[in-house]
This record gives sequence, structure tokens and C-alpha cells, in this order.
Amino acid sequence: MLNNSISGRLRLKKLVIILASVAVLFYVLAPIYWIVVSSFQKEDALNDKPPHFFPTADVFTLDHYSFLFTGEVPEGSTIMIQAQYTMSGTLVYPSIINSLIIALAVTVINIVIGFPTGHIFSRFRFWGDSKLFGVLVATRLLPSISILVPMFILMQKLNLYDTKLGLIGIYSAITIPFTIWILRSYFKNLPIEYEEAARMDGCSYLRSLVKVVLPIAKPGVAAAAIFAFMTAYGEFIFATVLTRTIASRTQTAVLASLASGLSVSHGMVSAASVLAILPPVLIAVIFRKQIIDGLTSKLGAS
Amino acid sequence: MQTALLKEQLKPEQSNYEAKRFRQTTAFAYKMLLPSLLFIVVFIAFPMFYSVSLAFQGFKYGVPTGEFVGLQNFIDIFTKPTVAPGFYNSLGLTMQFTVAAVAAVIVISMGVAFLINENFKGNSLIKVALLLPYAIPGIASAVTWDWIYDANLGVLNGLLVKLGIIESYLTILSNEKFALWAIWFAYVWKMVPYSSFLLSAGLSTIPSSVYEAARMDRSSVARTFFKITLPLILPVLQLALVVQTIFALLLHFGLIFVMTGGGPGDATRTLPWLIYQESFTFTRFGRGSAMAIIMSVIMIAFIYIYLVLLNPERQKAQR
Amino acid sequence: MSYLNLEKITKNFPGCKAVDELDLEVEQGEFIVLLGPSGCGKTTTLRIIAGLEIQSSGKVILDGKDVSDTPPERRDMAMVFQNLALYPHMTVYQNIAFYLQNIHTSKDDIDRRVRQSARRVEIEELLERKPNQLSGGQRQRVALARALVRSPKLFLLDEPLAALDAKLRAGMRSEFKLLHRSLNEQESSMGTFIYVTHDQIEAMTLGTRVAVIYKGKVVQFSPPKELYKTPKNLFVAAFVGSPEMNLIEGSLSGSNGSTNFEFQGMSFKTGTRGVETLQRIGQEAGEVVLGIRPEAVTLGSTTNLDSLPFEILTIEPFGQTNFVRLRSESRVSITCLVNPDLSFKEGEIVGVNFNPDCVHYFNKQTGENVLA
Repeated sequence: MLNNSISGRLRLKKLVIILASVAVLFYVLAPIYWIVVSSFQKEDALNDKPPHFFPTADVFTLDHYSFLFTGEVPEGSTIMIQAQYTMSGTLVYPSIINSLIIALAVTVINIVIGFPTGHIFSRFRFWGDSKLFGVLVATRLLPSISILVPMFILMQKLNLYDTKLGLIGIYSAITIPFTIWILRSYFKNLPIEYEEAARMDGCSYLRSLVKVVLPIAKPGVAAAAIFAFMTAYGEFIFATVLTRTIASRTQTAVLASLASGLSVSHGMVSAASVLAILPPVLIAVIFRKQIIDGLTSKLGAS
Repeated sequence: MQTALLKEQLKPEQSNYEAKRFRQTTAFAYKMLLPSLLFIVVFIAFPMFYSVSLAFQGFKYGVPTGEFVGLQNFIDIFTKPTVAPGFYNSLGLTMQFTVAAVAAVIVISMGVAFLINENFKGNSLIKVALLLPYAIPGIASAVTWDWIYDANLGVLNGLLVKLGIIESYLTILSNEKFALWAIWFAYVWKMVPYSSFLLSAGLSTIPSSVYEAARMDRSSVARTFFKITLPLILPVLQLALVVQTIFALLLHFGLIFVMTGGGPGDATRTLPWLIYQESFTFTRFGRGSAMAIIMSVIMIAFIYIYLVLLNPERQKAQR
Repeated sequence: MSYLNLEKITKNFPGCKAVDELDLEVEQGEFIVLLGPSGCGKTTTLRIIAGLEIQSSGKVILDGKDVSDTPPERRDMAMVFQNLALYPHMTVYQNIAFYLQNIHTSKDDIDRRVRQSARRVEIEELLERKPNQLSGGQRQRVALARALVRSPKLFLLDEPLAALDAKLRAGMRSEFKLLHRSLNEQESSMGTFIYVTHDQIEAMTLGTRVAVIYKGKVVQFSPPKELYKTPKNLFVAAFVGSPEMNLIEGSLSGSNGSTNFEFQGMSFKTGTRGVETLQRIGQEAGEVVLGIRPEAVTLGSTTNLDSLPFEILTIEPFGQTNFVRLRSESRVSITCLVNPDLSFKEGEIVGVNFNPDCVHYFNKQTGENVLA
């Protein structure tokens, strides 16, 4: 075949790479493409069979988005049944704020607590350190469903049911072990000389952490922070079960309830989905280097 | 681990200074660890223990009775005629799903990993694109796929009709034959990027000169993959398998939650969903918790199998 | 037609031309060394021969066949990589046997040939070990055995001794030589070697012919002795031979059939070689660079009128000889090898003599050896 010559081989390889790239791009982007396109289509256009694969001018609309942000059904819009635009659609906008607040808080807590903890695990030997670390990591193996019920009861007892604080607490507990894991491996690869020099210069442990380790450890901290943020933002099971009013509902929980509504406007749900996709995707694209580095440097950690 | 060795060495001949330092370090460490431990204990350990204790309690009309019933819940799960068949069905579905999901994810990720390991112009674009299914919140991807699979208006149906593959729209999520596989496909879609990056990191540790030597040794593409690439990325592959198995057992829950609710009938009532139903819908907390414990045991068994299967030969040889 | 022919091989990388219209002809059974400093293109050339790099232009012809476009595995060449590239997860046996398995040899044959190859490099006891359990020298031999187990048309070696310490290197050098000889004793198993190195000692001891490569071109291609005695240009003169050749800039001028080389206020009678050089240049006088090896420099007393006064800076004992550095008042530095029994002292002013028959004159602009 083309196997008998180097130039033939190179051409074949190029072809394979192009085909594979196209396949991967299509596989990865097609569903996202569809939900985005759906969110800009008029409701009755969405009810057409066969569906409109490309948003042409006659089916394009911003109605769904405008409703999500303003709560008003626009004049002359092509909504089939007003009732389809349920009131819970107006919850999308406030829920974004909630999600952001919660995710940010969780991220901050993760770094404030996880940073020194990860450092301690990486630099010091103490009684029970490996076992404790193992236990911490093992918490990731928990089926969240099994702690759903006790959590429900616990939250009510602590008066944290239906509060942002409650979610922040749970999410922190879920994400901290992972943050500690990432930072610990990261610190292990960090030269210890800087810290030793700082101690010789009379720096206390905490001071050296902040003034010496933190500046050097920026990439690792960034990766850990981003993972914590994205995990907290994307969680929806606990959010759905443990919140009720819009005061504390996250974007994902709102989306969940929208999607399981009885008569649903597909366009609106699509728009709500796109809005839910946007923040994490933006963060992923902006911080792609940190994320990819974090995902690929997990070697030897186990 | 290194620490263990160090401690072994320390113990027999510990000087007073070393022992004192060790104690000091321990005290200091736990002082610093207090906040994290607090979080874990309150939000995870406590609910977990409570959940486990629930598994050994009886229940009545939605309220745990607090009476200790020993292993009755477990026995019921495995034997009681109103409970066991459903459980075994869930067990079977879960196993089926997990094996299929892990296999698909690993195989596809392997291919993608090779692709992103190559140096070519669109490489960064592909990597960014790959981040998307990973970054998307689970609920959003569930909603998306739900909409794609819609029996009346879904784009999948639309495509298939347009391409002439089928005549009229199919029910997918309400179809016993297709439902689980629909979930499987959506699940695999979301999980591939994570493993792809992990495996590509493993691939990049193999020096290119090894591949060149294999070329000079006239090794075919297949032989090179099985006899050189695979053995050399075994640790990473192992990690990927463990992680994907855990994910497969647990993380498809969101998809079922949104897309099928366990149905049609019990075609997608996998273990996690069964547990959810028992605990929330039927408030049979005791039984639900017992099932959760069984599932955790299964998970640990899987992990153990992986560690044992793929490790001992390697460890023996390395010494 | 020679066994291996490289015709005008060029390799362009973004930003630099690694190989520049390189020509090379190799006969069967030779041990060719590609010698040059790092980055001169020798490894690239080797990889082009192997087929692991593809040339931008030019042809590679092996045993009459144009293999320029043939994939490396079909060129019937064996390669020993600089980092050895042993399969880390396979035993020594499996490493050596891999090739034979790939061409579907019978199990018995494989076993026989692997053991034979291992015996040749004396690693038979190591067959069940893995590469990470071996020392550097042992790994080196495994890589060799892996190449030897085939009877390829060419053996390609990329700085194989670079990672070894000096003592091991010396030992392995002679082993390579013996190997080459034993392979070529029988007509049936001719071994043609192409060996890349930056170490000129290796090149001089191992090669039947050495190709000095500089900036992607072959600067001189001759047997080691010739390289040493008649370097074609300044680069070869300075690169080959240790300790380095002395190079002094100055001018040749002649009158009445005798020529003088003048530099920094000193002058030395060149004898016939100087005369010839001027003739070749075709001028009455010319700017040249004089080259003389330390062993051709002799020291004597300053009373001799023909000798040039230099101060001894340092004397380094080399065992059999002393290596002496000298400097003139006009700050010209030279080196010299001297019998250690002679008692010179550091700081002494001595009379330096150049053996006129051992002197080379290089064209200042082109670097060419005028008399070569």
C-alpha cells in the first residue's frame, strides 16, 4: 500500500490526523452546537419536523434569552402557549449569581484550607500521615447518593437547609480532599530549598508559606482553584435536593427543575442550558493551560 | 511509601531528639489540619456514619425506627421476593453499564490521546474543544442529550430520518431497548476528555527513540502498540481504569435523573437510581442505605481487582 | 559503484540548514566515522541514512538500490541510538529477540541467534535481566547485541560511547574495533559501520576512514593518518589531534629562494615547504596561518641563533611526556611536548625550534592547507 515509501507514509499519517481531528471535533462539538442553535430558534420552529439544523434568518430569535433575563414575554413573540414559559424561567438570572457566589466561596475556602494542608502533607512526616491522607482521598469514592439523606437531615438540624452557606459547606467538604491531593503532589515536585532558606532567615512557618511558597506555587494553586470552582459550579444533585427557594438555588438546580417541568418550552430550556454552560466553559477556555496541566500531571499520584 | 520506610528506620534507634521532633511535628500538623478535618467530619464523616447506621435500622412509613435490626435489610435485599429481583436487575444493569462505559471510554480516549500527543497545527484547538464536554455542568449535558434524544422533536431522530436510516421518529428514552444505551452514549461523551488527557500524559513519557528502535526492529503498528506502548503506560492505564470505573458506577446518576427516571419500566434502574428511589421516593432509608453500602463494596472490589491484576507482575519485575 | 552512496543530501530545518549538499561514498566492510562538533549535522546525516529523517533533497543509495524513499525498517540497517533506546520493560533476551520475532523467525532460531549474539558481546549471563538492572557498559552491549543479531547491510551508531566514563570508553573502543574485524573476517558476514561521534580520539582509533563534518558539509574524508598528517584545512587541523595543533598567524615572504615566516616580530626559516607554499599562492608574499603540532616543536637553549625565545608558562606532566605551554614576549602562545627527563623549569626562557618539514601553511581567508 502506501506503506512502501516514507513519503507515502507521511501522507497517510497526515490524512489520518486530519480525519481523526475532524471526527473528534464533530463528536465533541455537535451536541453543544445543537443546544446553542436550539436556544436561538423560535419555539414553533423547534416543533418542526425535520428540525432546522442551521439557524436561518426566519427562525432566529432572542426571545428565549430576553425572557430569561427580564421575565417578560416579548410582544408578538411566537410562543405557542404562554403557559409554557413557566415562571421558574425567571429564576435563571438570579441563580447565576448564587452559583457564582457559592463557587467563589468554595474556591477561596479550598485554597485557604487546602494550601497549607497540602503543604504539610508534602513536607512533613507525622504520626498517621499516610493513613490520614488515604482517608481524605477515599472520601472521593463516596457515592453521593448515600450521604444525600443524612445530609438532608443534617442540614435541617443545623438550620442550613435552603441556604447558600449549607451548599458552600458541602461543596467545600467534597472538593478539599482533591485540592489537597493536587497541591501535595505539586509541592513534592517543588524544590524545598526556598523554604529552608526562609526558615534560616527567621521566617515562621506561616509567613514562609505566604511569602515564599505561594509565589512559586502559583501554577499548582491556579489548577487546584479552577478544579474546585468548576466542581462546585457544576454540582446539581445536592443543590436540587437541599435548596428550595431562589435565595439559594444555584443555576444548575434551576436548570434541573426547568428540565423536569411538565410542559416545557424547549427553546427556553435550551437557552437556560446555554447560560449554565457559559461560565464554566469560559473559565475552561481562559484557563485551559492550567486545566490541561492539572489533568496531565497526575502521574505517580496514588 | 517513603514515609513508612522512614518510620521503620526511625523506630528502633530513635534518639531523644528525633522522637521529640516527631512529636512536635505531629502536634503542629494536626493543629494545621484542624479546619479541613472539621469540614470532612461534619459534612462527610458524620453523614456517612449516620447513613451506615441507617442500614442497620428498621423503618416504618418514612421514618427510621431506630431499632437495630442487624442484617435484616441486607438479607431482604438479596432474598425477599418483593425486593431481590429488582435489586438483581439493578445490579445486572449497573454491571453492564459500567463495563460498557469503561471499555468505551478507555478505548476512545486511547485513540484521542494518540491524536493530541502528535504535533500538528490544530493540536491546541482540539485540546480546547476536548475541554468542553468536561467543563459543561452535568445537568446541562443531561438536558442537552435529553433534547437530542427527544422522541417527537429530537435532532437525532431528525438526522436519522433525513439520512434515510429510519422512516419515522423513534422513541429512544422511553424505549426499553435503547434507553440504557442512550444514557451510555451521553455518559461516554462527557467522560472521554478527562481520560484522553490522562492517557496522553502517559504516552508522552515514552521517549521517541524507543519507537524509532521499534521501527528499525521492523515492528508492525499493532505489535508496537501491544508490546511496547501498552506495557510502558500500564501505571497510567491502571489509574485511568480505576478512576473511570468509580465514575461509571456513580456519575451516570445525573443523566438518569434528568432523562429517564429509571424507566421505561426498570430498563435504566441502575443501582444509584435504585438507591435514590428507595431512600427518597419510598423513604425506605434503611434499605436504601444498605444498598449504598453494597455498592461501595462492589466499588472497592473493582479497585482491588485492578490493583492486584495489573500490579504484581510489574512490582515483581521491578525489584 | 560503492556500497553506500549519499548524493547531495540536504536537510533544511526551520531556521537552519543542517546538512548542505553532502556527498559520501562508502565501501562495503569499512568502518566510517562521521566526526564533528555538536550541531554540525552528523547525527542528522546518520538519521537520514537510516530513514528516520527524510532529506529535503538528495539521494541515498545502498548496494545499488535507491532507498531514498524507503521506510527505515525496509532498509536493512541496524541502529544503536545515543540513549540506547532499550525497551525498558523487556528483558535483555526479549530486547535482542524483538526484531527476530517481528520477522517471524522460528522459536529455535530465535533462541540460537540471540544467544550467539549475546555471546559475541559477552552478556550471556545477563539475558534474563531488565535494562534498569544493568550498568551503563552492559546496556551498551545489549544495544550492540540487538544490532548484531541481524546481519544488516549497515550498522549505524550514534555516539554510542557518549554516556560512558572515560575508562569504559577506552575499553569499548577496542571492543568495537575487534568486533568490526571479526565480522569482516568472513565474506559471509561483512559488517559495514557508520559511526557518529564528536570525540576525535574515537574517530582516529576506530575509523578506516573518517569524514570530518562541519556545518553540514564533509570537509575531509580520509583515513585517520592522513587526517592527522595532512589536514585539508584549518578546521580539521584544529579539531583533530590531541593536544591541539599550534596555529600562528603571520606572513610568508621570500627572496632568493629562501622564505621566512614572520609573526609578531619573530621570524623563522621555512625551508622548502615555505618556498612551495609561496609558489602555490603565486605571490611574492602572503598572509598565512602556520600550523605545527606540539610534538614537532623542540626546546633548546636560547643561544641557538635560529631558535625563537619563549618563556615557559606551565609544565604539565603527562606521564611519558611533559606538556609545556610557552609564551613569547609578544604574547604568542604555543604548546610543546617534551621528554620529561629534560630539566626545564617554569618561568625559564628557552629557545623554540619548529621542525620545518612538519609545518603546515593555511590560507588565511579560506583556511585551506596550501600544500595539501
